Amino acid sequence: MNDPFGIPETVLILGATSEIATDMAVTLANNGSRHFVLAARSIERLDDLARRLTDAGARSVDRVAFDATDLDSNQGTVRQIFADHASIDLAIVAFGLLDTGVSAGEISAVDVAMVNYVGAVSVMEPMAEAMVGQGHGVIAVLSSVAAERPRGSNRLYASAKAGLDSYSRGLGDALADDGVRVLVVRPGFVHTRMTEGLEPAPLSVHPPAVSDALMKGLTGRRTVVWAPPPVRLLMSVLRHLPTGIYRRITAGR
Amino acid sequence: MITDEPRVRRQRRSLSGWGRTCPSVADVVPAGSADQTIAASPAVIARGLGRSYGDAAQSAGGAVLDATSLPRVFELDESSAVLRVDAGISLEDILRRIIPLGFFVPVTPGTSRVTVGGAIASDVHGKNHHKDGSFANHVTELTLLTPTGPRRLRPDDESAPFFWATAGGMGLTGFITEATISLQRVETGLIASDTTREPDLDAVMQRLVDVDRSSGYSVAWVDGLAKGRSFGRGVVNSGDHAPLDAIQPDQRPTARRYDPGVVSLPPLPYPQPPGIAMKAFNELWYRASRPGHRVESITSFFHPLDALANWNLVYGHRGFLQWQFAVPDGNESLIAESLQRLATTDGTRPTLIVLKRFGAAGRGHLSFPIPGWTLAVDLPVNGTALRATLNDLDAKVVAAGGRLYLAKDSRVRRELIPHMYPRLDEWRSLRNELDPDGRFVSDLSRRLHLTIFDQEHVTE
Repeated sequence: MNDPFGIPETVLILGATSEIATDMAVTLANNGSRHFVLAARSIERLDDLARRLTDAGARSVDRVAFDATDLDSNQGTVRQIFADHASIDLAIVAFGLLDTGVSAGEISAVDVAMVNYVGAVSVMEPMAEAMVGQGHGVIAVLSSVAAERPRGSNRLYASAKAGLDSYSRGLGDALADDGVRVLVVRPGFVHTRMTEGLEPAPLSVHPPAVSDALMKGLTGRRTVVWAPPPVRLLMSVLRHLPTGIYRRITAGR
Repeated sequence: MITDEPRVRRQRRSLSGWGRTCPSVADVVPAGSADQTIAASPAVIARGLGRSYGDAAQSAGGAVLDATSLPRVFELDESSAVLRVDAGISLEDILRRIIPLGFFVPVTPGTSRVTVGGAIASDVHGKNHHKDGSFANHVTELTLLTPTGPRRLRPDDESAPFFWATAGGMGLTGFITEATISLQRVETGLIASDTTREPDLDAVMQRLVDVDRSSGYSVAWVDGLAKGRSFGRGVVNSGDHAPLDAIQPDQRPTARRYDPGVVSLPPLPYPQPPGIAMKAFNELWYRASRPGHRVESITSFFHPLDALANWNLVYGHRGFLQWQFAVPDGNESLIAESLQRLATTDGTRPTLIVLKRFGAAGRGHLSFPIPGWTLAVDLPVNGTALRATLNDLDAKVVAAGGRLYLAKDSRVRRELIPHMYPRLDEWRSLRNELDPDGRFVSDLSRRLHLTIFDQEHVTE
């Protein structure tokens, strides 16, 4: 269960090697979360995080191999994780794929849609089912401000996140009476490996700002949190700009 | 679809404690289906009127037995002052029926809206603890529905170990369906009380020690928001049941009337009141408590907050905690330190603070009261700084040989529980005999690992 301050005892993170997820995990451990289940493509890359969590007071850290594109086995993987633990109080869906920047490489358009949207839906459906059975739980989803309005350059990522964002809010509405909460986290530009080489957008932040947004979302009853909070205002303006002006502003970005 | 399963009326609902933090969803089942429910559910717990502050009467994803739907039993033996009732009846309902006949419950907590089953499961205490002990001291028999069958338990025969495991056992030994209670005889339904205002915490404590020598009931309210020299000022109330000849002759015909009025707030998501409102509330309480002797009603003396049925909404939609500990005499400085720490914690406004002396401990393995002091503080949830402060203070309570009250808790670190309740393992063994498969489970028991022999112990 989450305590009265919103701190979960047991945390599942899918895509735990991402820098944002790593920072969230350590923040949660520092605030009193005790058990972690970390899922990522290569569990060897989780060694360092596991050590940091233990140092921060975590009592147990389990590692699970997980590939978001492996759609056939995702449901089974998630069900197994819930079966192996008495309760998952917070599940963070943190994996994602960005098709621009230096790490883009050979990423295909379909990969972006697949990982960010289809992959996320494939884990969140069994997650929701298991949490309804538990009678409680929070699913935190890493969306993006890009979900609010795409640019020409990030259309793949933005549209996939828009799909995920929309699905997540709908899921939250569906589960409202089942004791399960879905928290959509919308970061602006975050300086990480994933965005390395990209020109930072206004109001850019580092991963701890996203963790702050998560923690704030856990203590309240909000369904959407922004990192940093003022980016909400910025996006609200951008979303309402006429196409011509919007294109001129975002040209080359 | 045809199933063999007998029909059980169940309703999936979100449940939380009186503090309104940590809700979870479970199937709420009427008590009439208790047998089938206990047999069929991997997790079941009883719920009365939901007045425990934390997560004692909820069981996420499991079944919750609604004790208030028990069939009505009410057998009063006026010659021996003994009352047999179903455990789902509230103290308020009992008082309505027995005060006109010249009886009073042996112990009442600060609200009359608790069930008898809940009063036993939490082994509640009242303003007469220094003299009469806790609720279970006055229970002569109870019926407990367990997965291994119904049991009739008494405090002094061969069933006594199970009786005392159930008294204070937070509903985890089984479902209490009936109880027999020894009542007090009273001449009136009124209290002859004395009120004094004390300028600081030391004076409050001294006054409590003094009045306990003569008064049957006593309690102090402390202002934790006043600054400077007024910090810890308080109001001490003491009293006894008023004899008939203490009442003005013209009021004697109505002296056994008990009719608490009640209003409700509309159930809206109220914002948390600002600090200034909470300070004003404390200031008002202090000023409105006129010193002196008076004759007052049961409700105004014992249950002043009952006048507003859902006062717990006032603390705002994030809810609140109640932190209550007991420590032996000699730890008076911890009370002052706790109040100071809470008043200076970021975002924290200790709003309603109650101080009281405890008499002898009860016999229940997990019964809360121990001789000395008990302090209860209402703390609206506002930011996480409070979390660390309470963790620090819990450790000091343990070091002082004290404990927290499970019926109030929603956040203590589980490693501290075996230190607070040294007879925990003995209780676990008894519990396991009654419920070997561990069907009785609450969010509280899961959170604190109450029912499982635990490997996680304090390491620091």
